[in-house]
Amino acid sequence: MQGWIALENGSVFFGESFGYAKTIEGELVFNTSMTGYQEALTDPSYAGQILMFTFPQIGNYGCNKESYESKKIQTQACIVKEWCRKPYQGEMNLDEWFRKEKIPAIEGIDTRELTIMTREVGTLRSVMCTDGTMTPEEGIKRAANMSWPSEENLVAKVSTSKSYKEGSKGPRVTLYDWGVKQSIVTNLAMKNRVTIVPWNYSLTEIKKTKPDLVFLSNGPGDPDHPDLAPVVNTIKEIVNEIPVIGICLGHQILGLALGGKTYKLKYGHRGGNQPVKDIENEVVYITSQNHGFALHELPKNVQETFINLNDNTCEGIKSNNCWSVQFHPEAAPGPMDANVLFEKVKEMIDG
Amino acid sequence: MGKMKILVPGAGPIIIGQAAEFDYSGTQCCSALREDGHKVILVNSNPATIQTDPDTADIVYIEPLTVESLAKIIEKEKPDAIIPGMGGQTGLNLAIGLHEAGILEKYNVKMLGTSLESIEMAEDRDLFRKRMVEIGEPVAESGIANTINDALNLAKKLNYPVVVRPAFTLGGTGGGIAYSEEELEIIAGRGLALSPVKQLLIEESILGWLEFEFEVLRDTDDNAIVVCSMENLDPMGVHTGESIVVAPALTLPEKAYQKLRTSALKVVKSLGIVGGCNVQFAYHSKSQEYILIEVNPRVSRSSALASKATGIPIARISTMLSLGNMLHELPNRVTGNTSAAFEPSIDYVVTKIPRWPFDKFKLADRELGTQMKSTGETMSIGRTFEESLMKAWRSIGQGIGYPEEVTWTQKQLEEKIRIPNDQRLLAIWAYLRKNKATQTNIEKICEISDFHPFFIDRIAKLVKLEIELSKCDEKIEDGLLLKAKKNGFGDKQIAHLTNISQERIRKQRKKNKIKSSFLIVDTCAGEFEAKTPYFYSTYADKPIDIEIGKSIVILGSGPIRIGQGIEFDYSTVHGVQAARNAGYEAVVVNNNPETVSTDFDASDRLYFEPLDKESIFEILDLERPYGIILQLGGQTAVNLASHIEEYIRKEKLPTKILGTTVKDMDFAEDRGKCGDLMEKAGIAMPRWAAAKSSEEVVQYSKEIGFPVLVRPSFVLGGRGMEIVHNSKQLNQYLKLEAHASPEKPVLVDKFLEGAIELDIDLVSDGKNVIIGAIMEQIEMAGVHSGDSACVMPAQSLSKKNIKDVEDISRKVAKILNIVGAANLQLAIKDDIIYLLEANPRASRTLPFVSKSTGYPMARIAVNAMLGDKLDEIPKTIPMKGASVKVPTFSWLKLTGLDTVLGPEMKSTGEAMGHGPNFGTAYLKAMKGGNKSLPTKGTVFLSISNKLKLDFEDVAKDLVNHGFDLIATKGTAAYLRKCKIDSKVIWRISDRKQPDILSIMRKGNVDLIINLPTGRRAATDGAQMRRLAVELGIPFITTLTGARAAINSLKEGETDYVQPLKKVNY
Repeated sequence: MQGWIALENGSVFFGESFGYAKTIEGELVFNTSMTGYQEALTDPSYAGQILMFTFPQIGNYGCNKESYESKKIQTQACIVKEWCRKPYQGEMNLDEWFRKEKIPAIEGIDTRELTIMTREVGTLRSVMCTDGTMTPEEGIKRAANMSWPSEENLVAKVSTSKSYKEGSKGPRVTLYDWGVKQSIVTNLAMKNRVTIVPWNYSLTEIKKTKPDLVFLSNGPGDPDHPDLAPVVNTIKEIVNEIPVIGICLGHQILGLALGGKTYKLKYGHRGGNQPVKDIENEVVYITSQNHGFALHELPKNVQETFINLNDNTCEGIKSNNCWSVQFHPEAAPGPMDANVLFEKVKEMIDG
Repeated sequence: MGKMKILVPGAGPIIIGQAAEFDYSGTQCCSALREDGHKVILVNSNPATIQTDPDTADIVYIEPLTVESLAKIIEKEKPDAIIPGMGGQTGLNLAIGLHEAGILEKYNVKMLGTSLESIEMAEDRDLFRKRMVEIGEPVAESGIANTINDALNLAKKLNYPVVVRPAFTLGGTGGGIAYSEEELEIIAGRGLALSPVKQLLIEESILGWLEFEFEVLRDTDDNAIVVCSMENLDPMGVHTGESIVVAPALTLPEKAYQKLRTSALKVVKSLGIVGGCNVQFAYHSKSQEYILIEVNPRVSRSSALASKATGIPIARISTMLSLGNMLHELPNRVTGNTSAAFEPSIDYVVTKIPRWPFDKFKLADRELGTQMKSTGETMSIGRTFEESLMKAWRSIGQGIGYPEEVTWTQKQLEEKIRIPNDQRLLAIWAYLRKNKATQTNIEKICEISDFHPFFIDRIAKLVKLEIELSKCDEKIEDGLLLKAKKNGFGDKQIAHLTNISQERIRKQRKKNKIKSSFLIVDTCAGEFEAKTPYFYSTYADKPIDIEIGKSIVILGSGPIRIGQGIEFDYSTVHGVQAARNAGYEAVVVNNNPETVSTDFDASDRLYFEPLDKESIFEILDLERPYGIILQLGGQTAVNLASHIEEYIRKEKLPTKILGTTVKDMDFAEDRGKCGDLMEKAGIAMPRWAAAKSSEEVVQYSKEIGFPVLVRPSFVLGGRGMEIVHNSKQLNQYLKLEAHASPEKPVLVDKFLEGAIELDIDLVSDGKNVIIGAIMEQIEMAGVHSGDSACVMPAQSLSKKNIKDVEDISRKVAKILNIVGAANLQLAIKDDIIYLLEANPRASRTLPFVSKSTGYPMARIAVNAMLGDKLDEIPKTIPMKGASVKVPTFSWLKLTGLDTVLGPEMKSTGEAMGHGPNFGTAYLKAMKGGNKSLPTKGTVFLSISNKLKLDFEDVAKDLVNHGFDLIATKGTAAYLRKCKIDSKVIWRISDRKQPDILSIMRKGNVDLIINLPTGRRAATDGAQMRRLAVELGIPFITTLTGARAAINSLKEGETDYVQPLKKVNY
């Protein structure tokens, strides 16, 4: 049946719906990775967003259990140019997967046009309908009046409610789950005893886990969200006592804790081909990224360590006893170039 | 690094396995170096390249690509550095040779780019394997063989079938898959003879695994990126150049993709390659295992494809990296403001289909394997695999532009799907069509072909759509039409399936606003703004705004095939330059990923599209250009002329067809009309007739009198053309080659035996006719002009002859109202000058003439088309010294093909030599074409009775030069009569030793002169010529060729080295 997505700027794109029949709201974003759709869709950083793939044929190798980056699909919905009915690999096709996960999806949309629109005007609030319960006109109105998903405390929604442990040897790493990707946990747990804790653990609670290092995870939404202010304060305190490393949202929150500021990018960085340069040794990594906000206006005691070669935005910082990167060294999906950064966890602990 | 003088060796003549891609990469390299302020010295023996244009480099040498000749150039020019990685395997092998000969060291020439150690490690099978094992990358079980016995022993351990890969050869030359000891002996013997280091890799077979390629760029700081992944549809066992390829990889799951990507970067870093390189993997999709197949430590055919597929100028970036720049210091030229240290993300699918010469070579073995047989390829871009595949089918220019109906039986179909061959894709389609494309069928095809079901499933979907369309009778629903268009079906195919005319389909489309949308290739899937003037069409999405000024559309020539090669790309690029210089926006339509013309930097707008009516009409609708040029893209463009003219008229487009009018083109092409015109003007043409049935062919042949030249009308490169001496031969021809019909008549021409044949290139503004050159064919009449060595100026014409030829040429140009370029073929016999053929377009020889004289003939032609008067240009273009063009053949790659020359063109490329006299030029050209003549040693003679009489002087000259002669009985007896000594050996058919084959194998023959007569050469001769090819022994098959060789030995200077001169026009 016909499905559509209505945007706050008054545009409507019609396509064929698949997956689950539903009407949802979200911020429309695009990802330029040509593979890795399953990892992307299950990445909690996409919470509140409608994910559109720029590569036109998605689902070619099917879906399976091994490629989850969290327990479920985290996006509000999915948009593709065309999905593959018979992948001949994996356990099910995209449609079956989306139905199981209750995720609406549309195909047959001019994804390139929609990508260019997003690039030109910035990400848009949108309403997507695949169950025929709303007219596109109503959709436009609702999109224009809805709140931005990032106005909500998305981190609280995707975080674990209880702490749990992974890994059986090595130093103790306490990992804040602000929407952590499974690959970060897996990478850390290979050489560390990891305690994954809820998003709002206090300094006291953190100390109880006796961490040699605190790791700040990726996650969705606006790092400057008022509900996260206490978290930023906690990190400020932690940095004085325990080594800290952050990725993505973790990087932004560390930046805020150190006195920097964050701002929303026009349409973010989402894909597996973002080039960053290590400023110190001029090494280039092709990295996996998924973020809509970025860090700037860093205080003097914070050193910028990586920059994005495409738009010169901040991709990494370091300061006394802490460092962080905006990109995803754990990849999944995306290139493994920056995986070497996990080796620096031990260096950090050893001082 | 300071400003340097840099030597860039090209790749030489086009042969199968080394084609136009090196003109593209070499040209891009030169332009990058010059933009960076360096002085470029270019050496290449191939005159048909843009690379050898005086505008491409600072100093251009058209010289043989041998260590000896490069040493002379180095001595003379004293370059600071050499870039070997742009001239394919030829370039690399030369650099290695120069290093080993101590030349680089002696003159302190620095090697830029990948070091010799790294090249060796990548190319030496044993070193490569060891290195990979060291870094923990999986390689196939294998061993190195230096003898046939080694190979047999290894194969026993590895189990048959085994793959044989000779070291340091290009395009997989000499390699193959051996299923038994007998086969291995043959393949290993051949491979050892061809490997310059006499080394083979005998490898366990991983037949049936999938094949993937990654195109990598690395800088000296170990920064590396993957430009593009490519997936071969044909599984392992078929050379990647012979495989249908898509980009990006479509079936690799994320984890597997990242695994291969990580491995590719690790391998490239561990080998220390600088610049572009290609890494090939075999991948087993069930077990997710992979095996490294090989690394090409240089830019290649795959990098040309990856460049065109993504928009990334790999050769340019490689060059900059060779100079010591870092990836992140270079800009992404497509977006203009992002970094070159970036992996493209694309939002379309690219399909490459190879073009094979089997439509011409009916006797050649069509089976595909580890060595290349294709002469070129086409690429197409669509939003989906389906659209892209169907567009590729339209672009290949072979067949009818879509899957034709075939009469193969189920068994034949299965055979054609099981054993790799050029018709495999068609067979898959036909099999599905025949069996209603059910799931069982899809599985069956995958089982017997090892194709990934993803692709077969999609093809089945297309076949189902085809079946649905074929149920329409003279009417098609708008919805179905849109669906067909979105899936890439061409109007022509839809018209055929629905019994509606193509014009009506187009009208219905337009009424429903179903038209091509032109999207841009931007490297980044729309993430950043890009202004690349590089477009592809799709019916699947909305168009974007394209700024269009006053433009001229130039049609390119599509995939490289025998008879339509890189020469036409040369003219296309010159056309662009002329149109730009005249203030127009130059627009190119072409679909060959290997060429300079499809570099988006080369024109103002590039449409990477099929060269058929539909796509050109769509482009005309969009561009509404001022003019369109049809003369530069060979026969492909000429064949479209009348359709384009009609379209312009009907649609009332403001577009002019520039140059010679379509009506006059038709006069020139149509033998009847042309004959009438010439007869009126008193210009002789050989007697001829167009036969509409086989009976008529026989009747006319008798009336005209044998020998006659018979051929189908409207073909290029002499396809199906033969000289027939009697009725028996004629009947055979009619049975095997051509069926005459009223729509496709067979032309019967009087054959002028023993005539001097001339090729004339001219340019006319309608008033002034400029004679570019009179070239004399060196091979005897009857050998296709593309296969004949030729010399300019003509050597055996009197002053009067020359004047008469010029007069007649001018007269013909005027009668045909030529505006722009034209090529005439004339013959002189018994002092009568005949017009054989008038081609109203830029010819194969135009670049050769331009390089020989310094006058850019194609540009002059375009200026004339744009209305310039050629008053300032000499009426006959002057030249100094002599230039010789010799054809090069790819015999080695095409097994089963006789190497004797005839009216059907067989050569794939050409080399040029220039010198103060004929001999020097000829020697150089021969060397440039890798056919060096020996100066001493043994010559084997086998001369047909008919020619023995004429051969006496040649034989005497050979003896005087100190050659020893050996000959078969008859020839020896004749020589004895002439008091010439020769050693007698057995004929092959005598089945006694020693025969010529055993003597050749022992290495005791340095030159073969074999002059057969008659239609098909006897088996003896064919067997011997084939062995000569495999052993690399030079051979001559025509008397005139033998004479030229002797003359060149007499007068050729071996020390003459001069750069090309340029005329400031």
